This record gives sequence, structure tokens and C-alpha cells, in this order.
Amino acid sequence: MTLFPPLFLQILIFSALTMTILGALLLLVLLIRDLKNKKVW
Amino acid sequence: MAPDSSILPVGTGWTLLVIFSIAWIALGLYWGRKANTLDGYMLAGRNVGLALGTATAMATWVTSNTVMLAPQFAIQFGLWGMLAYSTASFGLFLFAPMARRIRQLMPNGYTSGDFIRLRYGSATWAVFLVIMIFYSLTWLVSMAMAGGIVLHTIAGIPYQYGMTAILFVCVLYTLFGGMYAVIGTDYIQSLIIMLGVVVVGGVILLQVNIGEVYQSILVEQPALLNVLLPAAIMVIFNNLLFGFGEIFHNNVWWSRAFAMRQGVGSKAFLLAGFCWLPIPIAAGFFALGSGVLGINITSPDMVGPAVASQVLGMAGAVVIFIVIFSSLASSIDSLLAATGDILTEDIFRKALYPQATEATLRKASAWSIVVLGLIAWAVSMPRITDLLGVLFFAGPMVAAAIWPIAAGLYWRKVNRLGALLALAGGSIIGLIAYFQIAPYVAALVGAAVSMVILLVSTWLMPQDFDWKRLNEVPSKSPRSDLNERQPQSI
Repeated sequence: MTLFPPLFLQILIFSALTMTILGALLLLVLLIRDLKNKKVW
Repeated sequence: MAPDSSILPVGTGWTLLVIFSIAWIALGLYWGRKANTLDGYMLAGRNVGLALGTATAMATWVTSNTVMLAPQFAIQFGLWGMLAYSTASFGLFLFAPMARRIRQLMPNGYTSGDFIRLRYGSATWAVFLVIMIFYSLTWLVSMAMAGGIVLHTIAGIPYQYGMTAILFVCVLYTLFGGMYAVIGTDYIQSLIIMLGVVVVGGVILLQVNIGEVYQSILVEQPALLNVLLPAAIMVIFNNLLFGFGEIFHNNVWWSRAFAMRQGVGSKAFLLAGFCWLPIPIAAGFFALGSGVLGINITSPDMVGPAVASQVLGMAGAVVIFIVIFSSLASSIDSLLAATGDILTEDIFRKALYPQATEATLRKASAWSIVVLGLIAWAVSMPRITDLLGVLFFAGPMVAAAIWPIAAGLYWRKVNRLGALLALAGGSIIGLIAYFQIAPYVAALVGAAVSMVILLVSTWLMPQDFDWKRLNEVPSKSPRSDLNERQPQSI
């Protein structure tokens, strides 16, 4: 049985949490940009 | 009566429910002031920017299943289970160029039903509407039931009360604010979901080492780390095709493509895919950490709330309650609005009452939301246990829609009868596979059969199509002003 290496799990979890944080920041930055340009709606 | 395993006091559960209900309804009323035209009510004025566009596509795809079923996938199928669940984001990636194409070809379109009717004719339209309405209602009912079950399990709120409350709140704010309220609240709900997942995941990381988690799985269930776990690899393909079919056909996604301003759709769906992709993996990590934390899992779909309350105590239970409530609301409101649009545009305007004025259509749209809410409530009351099975039963039908939709958007020569046969044949043979082989191959069979029928029929009898026919300009009746109060003279 070929197993995923421990490093793969580390990368997977840290990447997922980092991407989630970046996603939330992206939404905030996009909203600020849209508000500035009056393009929210 | 509260279950023994509920992790929040009933009073706290009710307090949270009331606070968030008031907040969503107040926002619905606030944004509803903008919804004074039919396009405003149904499609948020067709002018939604990138921030809200990204958030609404992401939040709608985060259902209670993403937070509750993804940990279950991790427990059952290991690392592949987490990855398999996250492949549902590929539907958002692939829909990104389609959203741009839809907006270009149909600047005045309202629903995915409009596209099928104009592209393939009435017979295919009728079959398509049956599939979509069946699927959307099943999805809506499954979310309402999930809401009742979650509120009961986490906070001890009786199932019927919790289910009724969550449906009532979503119906009310969607009714007041239309698509403006749906998209606006989706933005806030997206941030809540992402922050909640990061907080719980971060605290788990502070308490357990990923190396320990790996060792614990290796000792207890090494198959979960297997690179070649056959069942998990089958799940990936089924999940992938189900996701494609769901996103390609359902008006929940088309209504967003129509609602976003020109040039925004493709970027918004692409970014939404990236925002959504890590959520099932992070939620799956909650489940994998449960072994090291010494949590005894009695109900696999409740592993997320159980882990959150273990590592964060009462605060964790509150966080997970809010995250699940937000993920449920973001899907229920979208389904109410988008399926309401189908009832208004495809059934009421196009099939029954073509001369309807804008004011009449606006009323019909509001009534559609109420009727859908009532149907969902009545079906959810008895707490059907196998509703997820019914939802997966629709898998081959939505998978059979992948090719007629994708080819119909890009390929001028598609044979119209072939598209009808692809949709109907893929659905029927996929359902036979569901019963005769296994549920997890049904979507694969439905999509494959549909593809073969469409390609062969078009190869044998190619037809031409003028893309301009998709740009249907809505007829303006003399009484198109919503604020008009004078009766029409005869």
C-alpha cells in the first residue's frame, strides 16, 4: 500500500488554511476597491 | 426536548437564532429599497460588482454539506475524501468562461430556462424545467431539513421549530429584498464562513501537531492515507461530474451570471472557485484531528461541531453554530430567489401569461418565493430521512444536462433533436445505472450517454444556429411602470 507522505498532509492543511485567509482578505480588498470606484452594485 | 449530545444550551441557541434572524431580515429590508424594478428584484439590477459577485458565487456553493459532509468524507475516504470534496470547486472554474459567454449572448436573459427554450425549442425546455425544478426543490428541502437537524443537535432546538425558523427568515428577507438581499447577505455570510473555518482550524493547529495526526491515522486507519484507495477515486469522478451538472444547469448560477455587470462574471466565478476550494479541506482537517484530540465520533456528520466545541469550548460551539447557520442561509436564499425566477419567467411569463406587465411579474416573483418556501416547509415537516439519497438520485439527470448546455453555448452546429435525446436519454440510462449498478456511477453514466448521443446526432445531422436569436428583447407593455397606479383604459 503506497501512502501519502506526512509532508503532503502538512502542505495540504497549511495551504487550505492560508488560502481561506487569503480568500477572506481578497473579498475585503475587492469590496474596498468597488466602494472606491462606486461599482458595488 | 434537547438531545443529550447538544453542545449549546437551548437558551443560547435561541438567542443566536433570533439575533441573526433579525440581522438578515433588517438587511433584506434595507437592500430591498433598491429593488424597485423587475430587473432589480430578480437580478439586482444586472450591475453587481466583483466583490459581491465573487462572494455570492462562493457562499451559495458553501452549503451545510460543505461544513458537515466534508469532515465525514475525510473520515470515510481519508485524504482523497478531502480532495474529492474540494473538486466541486472545478464546476465554478469551468463556469467562469461560460458566465462571460452567457452575459454576452443573452444581455436581456433571466434564466437558464430562457437559454434552453431559445436554443433548443419547447420540448427540450419542458424536460429541462422538470429536471431543474425537481432538483432545486430537493436541494431546498434538504437544506431546510439540515437546518432543523443541526439546530436540534447543536442547540437542542426542536426540529420543527428550527426548520420553520430558518425557512421563515430566509423567505422573509428574500421576499423583501429580492436578489439585492440575497447577494448582499451572501457577502457577509462568506466572510463569516471563512473566518469561522480559520479560527477553528487555527486553534486545532495550536493544540495538535499535524505529525501526530498523521501518526494517529497511520496506526488506527492506514487505508485513509492510501494513495490508491479505489472507492475514493470513484467518488472523485462522481463528485466532479455531479458538480459540473449542478452548476451548468441550475438557475442559481445562471441568475448570478445575468446579475453581474458586463466583464465581471468570469473573474468572479474564477475567484469564487479559489475561495471555495480550501473550505472542504480545512473542514476535513477538523475530522482528522478528532483522533488525537480523543473525541469519540458517534455521528460522522457532526464531527465538525464536536471538534470545535472540544477545542474552543462554548465559544467554539457558538462559532460553528453561526458558520452553519450562515452556510444554510446563503444556499436557501439563493434557491428561493433563483427557482422563484424560473417560476416567474419560464412558467408564468413564457408559458401562461406572455402579456404580463412588469408590475404583475414583480408580484408573481414575490409570490413564487412564498410558494416555494411553503412547499419546502410542508415537505420538510415529516423529516424524511433519505433526502440526501433523493438528491443524489437527481445526479444522472443534472449530469445529462452538462453537454446540451456547454455545447449549446459554444457549438453552432448542435442538432436540436439530438440535444433533447441527450438530455432525456442520459437521464433515463443514468437512472437505470443508479439502480442496477451503483449510485456513485449514475452521474458518470448519465454524462457519458448524453455526450455520445449529442456528438453522434450532431455529426450525422449538423444544424446551424444564429447566436443573435439568444438575445431576446423583453416585450414592453404599455403598463410596464411598477409604480403606475392608474387602471389601464379599455
